[in-house]
Amino acid sequence: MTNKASHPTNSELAAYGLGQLDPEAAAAVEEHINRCEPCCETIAGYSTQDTFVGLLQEARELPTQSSGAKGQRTTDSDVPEVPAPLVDHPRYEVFGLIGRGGMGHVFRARHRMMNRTVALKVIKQEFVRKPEAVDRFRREVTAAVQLSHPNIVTAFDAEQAEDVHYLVMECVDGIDLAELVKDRGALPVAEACDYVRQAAVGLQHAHERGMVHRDIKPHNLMVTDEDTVKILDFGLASLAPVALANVETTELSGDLTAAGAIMGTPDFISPEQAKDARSADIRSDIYSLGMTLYFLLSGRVPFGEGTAADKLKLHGETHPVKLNEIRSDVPEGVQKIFDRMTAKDPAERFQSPQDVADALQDYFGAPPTSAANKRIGESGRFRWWLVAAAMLIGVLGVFAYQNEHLFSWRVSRASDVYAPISELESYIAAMAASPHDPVFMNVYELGTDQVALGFKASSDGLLMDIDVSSSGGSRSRGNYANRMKEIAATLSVPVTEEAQIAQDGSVSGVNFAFRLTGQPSAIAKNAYQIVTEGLALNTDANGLFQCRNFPSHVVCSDDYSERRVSADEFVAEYERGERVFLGEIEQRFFLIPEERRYESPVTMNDEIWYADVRDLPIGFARQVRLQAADEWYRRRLGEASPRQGALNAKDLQPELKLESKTVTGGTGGLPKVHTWHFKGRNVSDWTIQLLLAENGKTKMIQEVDFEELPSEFTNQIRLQVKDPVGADHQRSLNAVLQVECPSGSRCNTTNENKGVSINIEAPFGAEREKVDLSQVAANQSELLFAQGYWKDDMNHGTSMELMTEATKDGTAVFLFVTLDWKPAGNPVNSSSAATATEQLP
Amino acid sequence: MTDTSLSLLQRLRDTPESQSWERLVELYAPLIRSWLMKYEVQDTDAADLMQEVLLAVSKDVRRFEHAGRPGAFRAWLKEILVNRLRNFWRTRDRRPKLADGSMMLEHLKDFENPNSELSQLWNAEHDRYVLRQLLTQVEPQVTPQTWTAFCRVALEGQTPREVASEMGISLNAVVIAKSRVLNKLRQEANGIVESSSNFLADR
Repeated sequence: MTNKASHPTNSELAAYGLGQLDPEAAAAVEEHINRCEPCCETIAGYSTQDTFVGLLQEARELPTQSSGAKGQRTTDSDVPEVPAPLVDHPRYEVFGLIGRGGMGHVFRARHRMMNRTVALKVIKQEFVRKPEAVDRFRREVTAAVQLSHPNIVTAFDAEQAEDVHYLVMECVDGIDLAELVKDRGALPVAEACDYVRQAAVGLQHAHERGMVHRDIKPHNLMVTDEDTVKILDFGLASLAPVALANVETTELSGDLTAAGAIMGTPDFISPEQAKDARSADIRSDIYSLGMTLYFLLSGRVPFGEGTAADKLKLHGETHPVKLNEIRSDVPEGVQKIFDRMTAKDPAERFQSPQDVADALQDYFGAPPTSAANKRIGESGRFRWWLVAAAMLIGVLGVFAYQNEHLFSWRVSRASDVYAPISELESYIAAMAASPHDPVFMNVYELGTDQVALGFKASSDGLLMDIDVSSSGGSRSRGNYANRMKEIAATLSVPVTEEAQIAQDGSVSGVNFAFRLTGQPSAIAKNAYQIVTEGLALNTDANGLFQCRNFPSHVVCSDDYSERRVSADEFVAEYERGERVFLGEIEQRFFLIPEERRYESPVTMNDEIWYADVRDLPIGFARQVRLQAADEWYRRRLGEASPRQGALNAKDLQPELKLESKTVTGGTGGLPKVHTWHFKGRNVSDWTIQLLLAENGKTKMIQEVDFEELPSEFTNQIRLQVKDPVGADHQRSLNAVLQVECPSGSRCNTTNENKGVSINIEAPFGAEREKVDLSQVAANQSELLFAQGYWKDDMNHGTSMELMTEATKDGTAVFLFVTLDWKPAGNPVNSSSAATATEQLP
Repeated sequence: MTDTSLSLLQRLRDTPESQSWERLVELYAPLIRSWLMKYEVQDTDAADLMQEVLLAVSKDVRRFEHAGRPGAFRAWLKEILVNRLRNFWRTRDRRPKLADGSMMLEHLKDFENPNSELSQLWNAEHDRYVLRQLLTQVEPQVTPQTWTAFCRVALEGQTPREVASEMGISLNAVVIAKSRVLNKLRQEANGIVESSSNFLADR
């Protein structure tokens, strides 16, 4: 420490000048130079430079990170301009403003490559400031993207350009119902009820997919020129703060504007949602839709007076003035439907949007206006294939976007499969086994003139649909359909034809449905034949399928760690029957531990392995998919799997397991002893090595190679390390590997009891241990343990190669312990995989 | 070493995840963004990846073992970045019609190698970007006069005497200003930026 009476040393002064002293010493020098000018002069005279100061000088040249919104006008300015990051956007050409909303403004844009008009909803900055909000937004939009329905404005994607978040959606030409009422006043009863019915049909679609809108109001319902109602902004209510609950009790002034901006006005909100936004379910949407009906019929909001808080309160306590007191032509039946939609207790409301649609339809008979919904012989419910056709369009949109700028997040990319037509059969089989989501196929990609096929589960199999409309360009589709019918006839597959009747009574299209029954593989085979021969497809070409059932069972968590296995190992593992294929994402195949086989969803973790499909033997993936489908089916029927035998026989399968690892010593001059305890069965060929990496090369120090092992055994591997550091960072390293030979074993040893003994200059040392060795991988070298020693600043990768590489300049060494295990009877090749499936019925 | 003041790294470890998150974003977003750009990751993907990287860091920073190795933190960060990038490019490589993925994977191998030029560049840029953010953070913590004196002497290379006379303050005040701010920056950067920690006691 600095002695106050004397002057600090010159080196102390220099260090002080550079800010290198610890606080106590610095304080002492400071105190000193306050009194002692010469010392201060001395410091001032020293060079001001050192490495750190040099770095600071360089750093200062960098521009500061601007945290504010770049180039973006304030959101409340009169004419919102296109946000700067969207000007000259590589993907979109952005035109003018087409709408304003509480959440953000909407711009019309052209997708440059697709040459298609879309709408971009630019989310206001205040809603996406927090990363959590952005996360929530994305999750919700990801779910919303899955929605595809004529009565819902299709959302394609959520994107980001710099700090601007925006939603890409279908561009709808139309007017929202709030605007419509503003222009025209209260609507005719039948028209209003039909709009609400259509909205209910759209809500039902979302409801079936587990989604709630949370902000149904006239402003969020668009009506197109064809009188089709489309719900806007699914997923956006997620950005609203959760705490609307306390709006009554807490300070209303500032928050109210925010709440108002987010929720529109609280004119349509259900009592339970007003209390706790999180409690909103589909019945809250039904309430809001009911209040929307009130608005359309009366031309005014249900509770017009008072503040937002008053309104929220009124929703919970009273009923608005009766509709037929406002206008005399509202029938009692409509008032009843309204009352039931807006019951204070959610349990007393209609329980699903479909119920609302049915009630309105029953009251009015056939819908008066909507062309999109007009079908003959149907009781108002959509038949699936019309929806499917609409979905297909949505899906194609999504895919196109994804393909171009890649996937934004995981859920949506998991649902698209782009595979050769030759694989179609296996996808259909998979779907027949697990009929949660349809398989779609867009043959247009293959140049066959806009043919789209949809598959849907029926009680006894699948329906395959081809839709032929009378609009232009579909004559060839009709020809295809006829060809497919002929082939179906030879396969004894029944076909039904249904006409689609247009508004004027003419036939606007025909839907051919092929009814496929039997086991998944049989269904798939027939479907495949009808499709490929009927459409004369080149089966090598890539087609676009949408097949959600498999991928949707695999949920990747944020930081999933997968374990990749070699193709050989994958095939071997599969053949052993210990693990079973479950799903596929893109080009990856997964092995799921048997006990978790039918979990849904399966969370991905390191128990789940994957292999790259491209590495697998040709045809294997396809066979596995077919086989998995049949097994699934059998299980559904309660039949025993023919693989049962294989499962029981697994007792005899080779296995090598690390049971435990212990470390002793290492302190007080004692050597450190690492001990690994193994258990094995039918291990056959097993080699253990101690290696030393130095000067960029690895050399073998010791080796134990087992030639014979008992069928069941336990074994220990011990590594003893002494590495004391002496003067001048000199370290004398001494390490020796000892491997126990279980009774009944025979082994070749190299350098038994003669390990490594070297001197190195290395003050630093670190161990790296392979943690997950519970199952030792066969047919590949496993690094059991690595220990490094080095002189100064060093970093290295985690593989043996990279660690070895790091020793190149001679300032570091590494010790490795490795295992090589080659069980007998491996590798299993593809032909045996194929044989296994061929034995299936 | 310093007992009284915590380094940034220590604070990152000791603060709850939510707070360390903001700090991390502030500190590291510019650096990571610039590297994602180098690897041609754009827009939405870049935002996603950056978030992934920073999430991984914020989750594991408490478990990060420095082990006295200078440069360990940035090497660790690089490892995380490389892993995420590899995942990203590997999946991209799988998509049909996009052929540039495998090239990127090759580049990544190079980046992973600690002795490569890329790694040297990373090291240098890491230090620069982090210090740039630190400068921004430290500035409001001292008086404007102290800050100006520090900048002129330490960053702009003026002599203390010149600065003292131009600013009309004592030489003593300039010397102290420079020493204090530098000291603060060193403390903050300790464990994250190499060459920040060479206190006298360590020599």
